[in-house]
Amino acid sequence: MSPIDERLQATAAEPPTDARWTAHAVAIRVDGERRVLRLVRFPRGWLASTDTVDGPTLGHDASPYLAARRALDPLGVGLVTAMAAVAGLDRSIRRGSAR
Amino acid sequence: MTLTPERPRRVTAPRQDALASALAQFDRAADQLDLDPGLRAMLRVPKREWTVNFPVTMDDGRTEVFTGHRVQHNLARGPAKGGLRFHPSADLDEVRALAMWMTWKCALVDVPFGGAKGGVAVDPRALSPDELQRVTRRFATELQGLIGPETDIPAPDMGTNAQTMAWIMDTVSMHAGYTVPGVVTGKPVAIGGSEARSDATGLGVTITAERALAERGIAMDGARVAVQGFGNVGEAAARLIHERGGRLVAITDIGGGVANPAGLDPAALKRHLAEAGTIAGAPRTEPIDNATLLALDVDLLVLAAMEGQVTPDNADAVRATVVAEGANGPVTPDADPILAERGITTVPDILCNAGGVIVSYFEWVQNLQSFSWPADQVVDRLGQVLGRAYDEVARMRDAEGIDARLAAHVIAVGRVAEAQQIRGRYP
Repeated sequence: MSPIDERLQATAAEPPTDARWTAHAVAIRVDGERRVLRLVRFPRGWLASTDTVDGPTLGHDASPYLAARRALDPLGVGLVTAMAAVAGLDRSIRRGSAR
Repeated sequence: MTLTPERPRRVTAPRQDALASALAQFDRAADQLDLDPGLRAMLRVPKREWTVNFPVTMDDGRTEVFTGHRVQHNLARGPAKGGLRFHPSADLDEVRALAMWMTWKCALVDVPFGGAKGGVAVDPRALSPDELQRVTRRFATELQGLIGPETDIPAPDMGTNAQTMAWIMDTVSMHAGYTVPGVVTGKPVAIGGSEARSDATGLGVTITAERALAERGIAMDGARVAVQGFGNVGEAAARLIHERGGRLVAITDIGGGVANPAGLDPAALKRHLAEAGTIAGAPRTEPIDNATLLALDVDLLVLAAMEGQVTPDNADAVRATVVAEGANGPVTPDADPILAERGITTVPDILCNAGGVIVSYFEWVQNLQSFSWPADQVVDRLGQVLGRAYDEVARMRDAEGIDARLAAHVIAVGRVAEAQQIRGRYP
């Protein structure tokens, strides 16, 4: 049974028009608890983060999938589940950050 | 001792370049993942390549020189694992492709191995048993230091079998001075092989094909099935599909093919193969060629022969509902979209034929523990591992709206990339 059983919504924060980053959020459920996976895209990669009782987690990588994997790992979320969560972002947002 | 020209053993077949296929599949996954460019460059090439030319004395006293390769593609997740094939067309590029596919296959089913492959350019059917043993033992000796339970573990592949693995194990053990069962998998059970290993790849093909058929609303019981290839994988898959009620309407092997709309008996075909060297001409069958088999209107087409069998030249002719890749790379990347556009479900090779390496992993674990599991335990655990991998591929496929092959490669490349990054860079 996947710890993430529902993807609620994907949202995006509008940066200034000249910003070199965009912020996005995907709402997920981990073991029945609603959490927000925050993803920030930079020209050369991604930061991902979510909140835990010990504070926010942080993952960074050229790939949004692997950044999300690192951010969700402290919650015991597996690779495939973390990668599938990123599918909540529109594909046009995800592509091309590492090239 | 005389050195004579090599006998004409090379057989060329019209095949798509396996390495080009492997690289195209990797590039698609790397694009989908937005993989770090440095990591992408690392994973695109093998870590180690070993080529050796070695002499063997033939039965008539002549010396022949054979060429063999062993390629270790990636070791981030564990020791290298992959088959050893004896085939006239085995060359370095083919072995590179097969080693890369092994890395992804091991990662996809989440067994702690990297990927490797080996090949010797030889037609084993043209050798006597003694010649074959000498070729095997000399090649194993040339690989000394490269293969071992903690470094690189060969297994049977095209043209090799449990006996070949026994000779390798014995050669390595003689040099070590003690028995080293974990150096190879796919050994005979009498010397540390695993129960259920010989049927493992065919069973995995059957399990994943059954899942894919079910997704299309088709039960294996009563399904019309065609099988290309009647070797280690094709024979086991045909037999297990037959046991589950599938109707085998056509099967081909290297010597020809047989068809019967009412259904073929794989046990009878195996007996004919033992007598005639091919299933062609078996009683109560009609002849059929490969091109006709690939175009049959069937529920399931199992491709268990060679790479590059379904290409853009013949993909339009395929009429199966599900294509199961029992071999490595039988559908070329440029044929994939043609099958997909026509609504054909492809079970990708790194998932479909992973049963062999899963049970090889079980065998390796049993050897390291000096403990053996009963067959039902092996089969049960195989079903669990393969079922989980199938579920993960389906989940990624559905979440992203991508095809199963890309989903499988995204998971596999993602796992290897993660391991590579966590381990860091040395020095």
